[in-house]
Amino acid sequence: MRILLIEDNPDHTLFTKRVLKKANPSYEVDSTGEAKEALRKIAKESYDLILCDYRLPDSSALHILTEIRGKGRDLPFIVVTSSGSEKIAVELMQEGAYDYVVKDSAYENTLPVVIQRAQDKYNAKKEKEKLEEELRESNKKLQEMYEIKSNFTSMVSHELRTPLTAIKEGIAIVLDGSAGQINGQQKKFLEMAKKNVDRLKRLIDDVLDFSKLESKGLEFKMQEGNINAIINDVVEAHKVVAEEKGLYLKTALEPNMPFVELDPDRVNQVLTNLLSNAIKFTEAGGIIVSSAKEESQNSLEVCLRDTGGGIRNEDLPKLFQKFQQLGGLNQRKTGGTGLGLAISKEIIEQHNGKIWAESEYGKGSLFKFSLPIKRRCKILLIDDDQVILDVCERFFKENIYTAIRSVTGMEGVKLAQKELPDLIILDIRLNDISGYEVIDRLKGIEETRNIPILLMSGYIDELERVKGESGKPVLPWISKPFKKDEFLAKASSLLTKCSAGN
Amino acid sequence: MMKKKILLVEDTPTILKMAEFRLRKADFEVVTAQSGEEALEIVDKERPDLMLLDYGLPGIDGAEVCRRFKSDERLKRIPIIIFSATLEDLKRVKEFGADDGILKPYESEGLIAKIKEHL
Repeated sequence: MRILLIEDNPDHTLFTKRVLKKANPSYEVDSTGEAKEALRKIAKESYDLILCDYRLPDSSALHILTEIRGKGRDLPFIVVTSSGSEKIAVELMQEGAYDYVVKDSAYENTLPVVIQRAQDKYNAKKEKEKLEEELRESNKKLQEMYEIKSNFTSMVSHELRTPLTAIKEGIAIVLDGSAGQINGQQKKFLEMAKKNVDRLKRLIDDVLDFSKLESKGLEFKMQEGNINAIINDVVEAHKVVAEEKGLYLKTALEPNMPFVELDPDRVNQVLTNLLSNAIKFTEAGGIIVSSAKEESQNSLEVCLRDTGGGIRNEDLPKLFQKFQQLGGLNQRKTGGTGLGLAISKEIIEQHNGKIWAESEYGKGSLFKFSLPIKRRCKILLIDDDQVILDVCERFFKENIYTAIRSVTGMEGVKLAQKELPDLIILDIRLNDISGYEVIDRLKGIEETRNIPILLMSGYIDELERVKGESGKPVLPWISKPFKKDEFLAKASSLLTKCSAGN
Repeated sequence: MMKKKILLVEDTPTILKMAEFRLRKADFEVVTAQSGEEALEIVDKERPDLMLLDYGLPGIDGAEVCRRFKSDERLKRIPIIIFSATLEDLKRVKEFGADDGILKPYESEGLIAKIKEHL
């Protein structure tokens, strides 16, 4: 490994060289005392690591670091400081230095460790960059494949539908007498043709939808929607078909249903599919469509109950699989691709919901799906520093979370109990009780025990104290000062049960 | 009462014939064009009350035809209904400047109702 030592004091240079030689005889150390010379060397030769004194007669470590980074180079850069200048070293690290080492009595022992650590960090960084590059590449390929498939689907759709349009309309024109009288037998055969064309059209729609779902190409236009309105639309559209078959079609909708985030067209498609299935498989009686709130599950449920033939228990798990039709030949008469329920399942799952069926063979079936009701996230901020509270609150408000704040630990615990937030952001140094004690108290209360906590501190040492026996931090933490994106990313990773609103 | 005049632009001859037949049966006067260029050429003379426009045309496509109609003071008031076999095109009708869309295969009742809605 080639190391460039930038140090103006000849004694220090000599000493450092000796320490390095002793640490690892294979280290090749080059040195200079001038910044200009150092930059020239760095540009010309290849080093694996730079060890740079903070103060140089003609420049500073910061200047050299900025120059190197300005040229787009990434080299493990370690700052050597005298004791008492750690603050400067930390600043340099924020500018991109890998680490720092203090020239004190422990220098001889710490330097090799710091070098090793910087190298490890460098290697890990390179490895990560490589992986990221590979990931980008494969993402790009996937994207290309997706586009090809999507274009293909769109082309196939057009190519299939255009001739179908002519066939369908040709039949319709003759069948409805627009092109002159036809006799009973002609009418009978044309009606058969029409039924089959309509079936072919549905099949094409199903296959295209499914192909798009498979390639995740089906777009979802999520918006706040009212499930009861969609149910009413779909039921209305099926009234005639049900009546023709002599079936009743009723609704039992719970009033005041909460709005949920959904794609109305897609949910309509699911309901249409379930309802037309129910009508298809029911010969007597009818269908009731109901909606209900499931407070405990934080979801709403839609249920279609029919008085049809029902489904055998052993067949229930097969229902939502693709290309599955139950009952073999007999079932073929009723038509369909066997994709309808698979498509419905995909759509509901895209909404983070569930779809399932219950049935008593011979008595009827029950098809249900649930959609999650999303609440707006509530966050409790506990920090004695009003400025930090203001900053955090502003970050959250921009993202439409609800923030509650407390300047003391005791009040924080009380608020947590009362408000049951989705996340608590907790500073360790508080004026009354410590953050650790707040954690202990929260963990001791049944209702607050499982609320995720994000620790915050300006002192990394303090955060280290929260490490468990395995050496890994027990709680997620963030050190102050933090950047907005980093803060929000950490916070939102802990928020899984609610949404950020719109 | 004068019959309303529909300009039907469609490059697939069978669909053109069938749709023309339907529209005449529904008591509309129909003029046809098989490309966007032809539609632009005859529109001044024909002065239609509405245009039913296939999207995937040879030469200039449906979007371009819409753009030219809607940027022309004399033509911008003619309602345009996009007539397409691709759902994606129909989702973008407003973006093209058209007033509505209808998917092929179509139901004749739906087609006629939609046309009447815009007249």
